[in-house]
Amino acid sequence: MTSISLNNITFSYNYFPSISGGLLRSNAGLKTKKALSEVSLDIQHGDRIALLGTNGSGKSTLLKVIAGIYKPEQGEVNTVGRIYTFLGRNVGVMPQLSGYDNLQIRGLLLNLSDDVIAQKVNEIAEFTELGNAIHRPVSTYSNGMKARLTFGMLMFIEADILLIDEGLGAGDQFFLEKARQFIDGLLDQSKILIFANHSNQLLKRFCNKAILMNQGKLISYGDFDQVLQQYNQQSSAVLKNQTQKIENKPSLS
Amino acid sequence: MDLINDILKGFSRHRLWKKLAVLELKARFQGAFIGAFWIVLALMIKVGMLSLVYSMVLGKDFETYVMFLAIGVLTWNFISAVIVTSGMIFRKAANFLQQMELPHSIFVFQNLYREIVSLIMYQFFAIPLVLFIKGWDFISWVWLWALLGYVIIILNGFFVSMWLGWLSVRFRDVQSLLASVVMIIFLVTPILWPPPEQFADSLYFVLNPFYHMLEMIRAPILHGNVPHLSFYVSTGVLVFNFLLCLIFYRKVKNRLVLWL
Repeated sequence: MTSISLNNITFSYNYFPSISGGLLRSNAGLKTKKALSEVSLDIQHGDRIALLGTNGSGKSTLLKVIAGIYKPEQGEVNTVGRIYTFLGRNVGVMPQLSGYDNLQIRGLLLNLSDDVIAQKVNEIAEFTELGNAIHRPVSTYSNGMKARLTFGMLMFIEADILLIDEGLGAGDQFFLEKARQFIDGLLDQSKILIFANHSNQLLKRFCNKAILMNQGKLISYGDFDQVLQQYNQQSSAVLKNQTQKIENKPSLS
Repeated sequence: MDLINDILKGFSRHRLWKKLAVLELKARFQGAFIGAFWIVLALMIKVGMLSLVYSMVLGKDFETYVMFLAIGVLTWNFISAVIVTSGMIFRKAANFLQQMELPHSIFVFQNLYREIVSLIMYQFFAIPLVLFIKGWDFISWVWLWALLGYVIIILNGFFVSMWLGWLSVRFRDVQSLLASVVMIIFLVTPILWPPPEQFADSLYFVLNPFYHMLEMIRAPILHGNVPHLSFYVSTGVLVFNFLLCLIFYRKVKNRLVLWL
């Protein structure tokens, strides 16, 4: 039974403001930014969740904490099931290597057996229609071909929990449709999906629930349409606020 | 024992780090006419030129000197390459480490494996050279000590590159420091010149761990004797490096990704 449970998670980044070196203290001026504060969540199998929130609201950090890449400074993460992550556009594609080598490394990173990798790589090569280009260095690919390869890497899925952050853009119309059908087929009830994306259309297609994040806090979690409505209200309120400010400014005359 | 666990898990992913290391080697010699043979050729040119000049400057017998130099330089090449490249181990892997949870040791194994491949290729030059000069009778069982010496050097290399890798991710200064420090060590360690007899017991040599590392290889092969002190010192250094990794692993484990 696949599940994710987060209990009171807090996580912050330490960073140096702009350029600060040569101060003869290694952590001179170190600042802290809280990215997640006291987030608790329970996700059961069959949940396909859309992660909503403005930029910098903690969506990516939340995904990384669930994936175990970041360890929270407070709270507990418990996941049952194999996790597959797809975070950001550069999925560790090495441009000097061929598409084929990149796919192989992806398979090895996921610790699949040689047979499975060979089989999957063939399937992916066929699906992405890269043809002979699969043996060319990725640095010679066009953007569309890169997008296809990136999507191909997603096809290695051998997991119960899918964490996807952006990344599913680009590619020509025909391929995009094909890709959507693939994901549709993939998301049977036994899997958990958490999908962060700014395209409501895409989210609506795949998700039945949604999480709304704001400044590191979990604002709401529930039915997709309701949460989306709340998100839209929130952002339109912010917009209205801003336009009012601009309108209230005295004109330069 | 989190560190041991990390190392065991990392080792079990050997298909991954071998593949990464081989691809790295291939990429380095991509488009080169003689490909990976450059590894050996570069060593041959280096040893050839240096022994012509230095056997004259130092007034040494050419044949004895060229063997001394070849074995010293190839061992040093391995040691210095491991040290210099360790600064980049985790930074190169940033893309992977930020995508999924992986044992740190995978990337240490990758780096070490690549250098071991070079080390083995060096032997295709060194062993025939020694046999050519000294003949088949020169081979002896004592050479096995040199093999043990390599094992100790490689183990040292593993732990050194692990903590140097962490350190240089945390402190950007380390990477710039490594290359110049390695150069200085090269000049103060008896690699180009055998220690002069009247200074053989000088603390400058006895306290230099790199001298002992080289002696573990040179003494058994060139003189047929076992340098016990050098083996003790090198094993001591190994324990030290291991403890360093053990102590720092806990602190670094969860934070490395954030530093990248």
